[in-house]
Amino acid sequence: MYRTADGEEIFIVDGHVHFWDGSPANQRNRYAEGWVECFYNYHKNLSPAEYVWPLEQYQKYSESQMMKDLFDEGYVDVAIFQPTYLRDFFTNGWNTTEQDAVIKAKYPDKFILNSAWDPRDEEAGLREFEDKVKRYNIKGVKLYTAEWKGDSRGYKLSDPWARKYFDKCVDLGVNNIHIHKGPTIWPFNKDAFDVGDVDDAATMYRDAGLNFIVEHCGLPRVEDFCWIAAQEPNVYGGLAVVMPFIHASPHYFAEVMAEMLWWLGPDRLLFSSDYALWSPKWIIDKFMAFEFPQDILDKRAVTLTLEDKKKILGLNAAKLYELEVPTKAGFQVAVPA
Amino acid sequence: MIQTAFVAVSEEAVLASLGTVTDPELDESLVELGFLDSVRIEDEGCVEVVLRLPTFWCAPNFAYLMALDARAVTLKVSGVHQVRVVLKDHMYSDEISTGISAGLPFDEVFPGQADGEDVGELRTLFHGKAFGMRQEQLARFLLDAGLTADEVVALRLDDVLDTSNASGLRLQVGGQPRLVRGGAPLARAYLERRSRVGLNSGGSGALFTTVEGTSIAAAELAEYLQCGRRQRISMTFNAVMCKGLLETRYDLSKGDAE
Repeated sequence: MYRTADGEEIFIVDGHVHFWDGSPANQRNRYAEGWVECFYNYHKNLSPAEYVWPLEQYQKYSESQMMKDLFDEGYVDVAIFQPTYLRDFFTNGWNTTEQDAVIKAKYPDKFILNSAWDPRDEEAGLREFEDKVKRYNIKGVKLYTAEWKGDSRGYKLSDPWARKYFDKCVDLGVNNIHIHKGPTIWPFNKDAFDVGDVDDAATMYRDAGLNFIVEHCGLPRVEDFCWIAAQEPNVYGGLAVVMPFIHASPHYFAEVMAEMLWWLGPDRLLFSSDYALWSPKWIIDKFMAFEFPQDILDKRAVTLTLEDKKKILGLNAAKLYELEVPTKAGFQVAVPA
Repeated sequence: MIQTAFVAVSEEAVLASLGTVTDPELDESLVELGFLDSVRIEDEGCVEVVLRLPTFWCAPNFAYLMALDARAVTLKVSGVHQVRVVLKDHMYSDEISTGISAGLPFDEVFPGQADGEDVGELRTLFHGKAFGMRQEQLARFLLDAGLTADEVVALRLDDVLDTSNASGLRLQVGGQPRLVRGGAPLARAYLERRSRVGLNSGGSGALFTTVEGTSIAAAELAEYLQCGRRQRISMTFNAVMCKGLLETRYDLSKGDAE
């Protein structure tokens, strides 16, 4: 819970956190090493100096460290685990549903456990996914379309098997589909970050009740993401990666935030730290203090009120995941949209 | 020509040529972005160009396009007859370095990973985005300088009288000459991009058209520019991210990315 200077309480849902193992013991190959190095540079480049960890700590951090950073110091009430398997790179996976489930079992009220699926696992994966959903009461999935699998360098949400998995999500009530685009999806000669397949899926499954949360707002294709989101009411922007710019490049953060508010409005944006890429405390502190500079308001007539910040920091995610918000913190108990 | 092998290669000329290569995703020169690691001129007209990128995972297609362009422009420098491009610290360092230096097409560098089309379509797509971005910057600049939407859409290419003037952009607005302070670089950048997407950069045609060459009505201008604005914000934001990651990766101090 974040408390303003006036004593007002703000309910915080961190929409995207990890409990990963990138230690050398878990690395299978140079791609794993490259993965950790890349993540670490994101962390180092955008974090305030006092929040930068040594590489060893970043590769593998403790449960107590995570609990402290998220809940004791980071204001977070509920955090959503978003698994990323990467079994071709990491022996035990980078961060799997099963690993997250161990933590969730210890702190059932603090975490939402999401799962994942991969259309390339076809029929066997479909059954395994259904088992996981039932075992863990799963309400959301994280899809990483650029994941390597054998010779394959990724998949599209429009692949025929992806449709079967979406149908399964509808059947099982797994309504929140988080999507992360990476750089190496097949075919290589096309734009790997293209979000057009999100558009197709969002249109096709709108009436069935699926919500599509595009992580880091489609970065580096923010322009295409805004365009799609403006037309599809069930498309949301996950603010991972975007938010830490509030420290490193506040003016660019303001510019992108103004675009997001212009095209999507304050009801379809979700705060997330992407922990342990970044720590929620400083992002939330800076976001609460943030106001648009005048030169941006001159170009884009947007507002960001305290009520808007509350929605972005927690109430929007609470609605998607049907969380109960303490009435003092929200204007209401979140109800299904 | 046999004697070209004996012409001394100028490092300055190689660097100037490499300065014209842009990252298609960011629409900035790879030299300014800091992606040029080093240039080494070897005996007998051989040049080694070493490139580096912000992450191990940077998309292979854009890496390939930059490496391809770096090789092509360096080969045109007087005295150069062989260019070896090395992409360091990348997941496809070997494939791209070997493939580009041998002049291989994309689908041979990545067998089975492309679906037949070359990367030309991707390049065209991003030239179009860069066009939208540069156009929005110029049009927005003119509107801010006090031109009306009617005046902006009525401008013809040959109403741009002088883009080389250090003190501003010389235009003809409604038949009257006008100097707009500070706009010359924006106009140069836009006209250069028009040529690259195959549109006229001079003559009696409209200055502002869509990338397909169709005219824009004054009443539609504001909405039309929203699209270019989105592209500009996305590209500049990505450029900030990429520069920051490169600085962190190679421990460069701020503002010293060269």
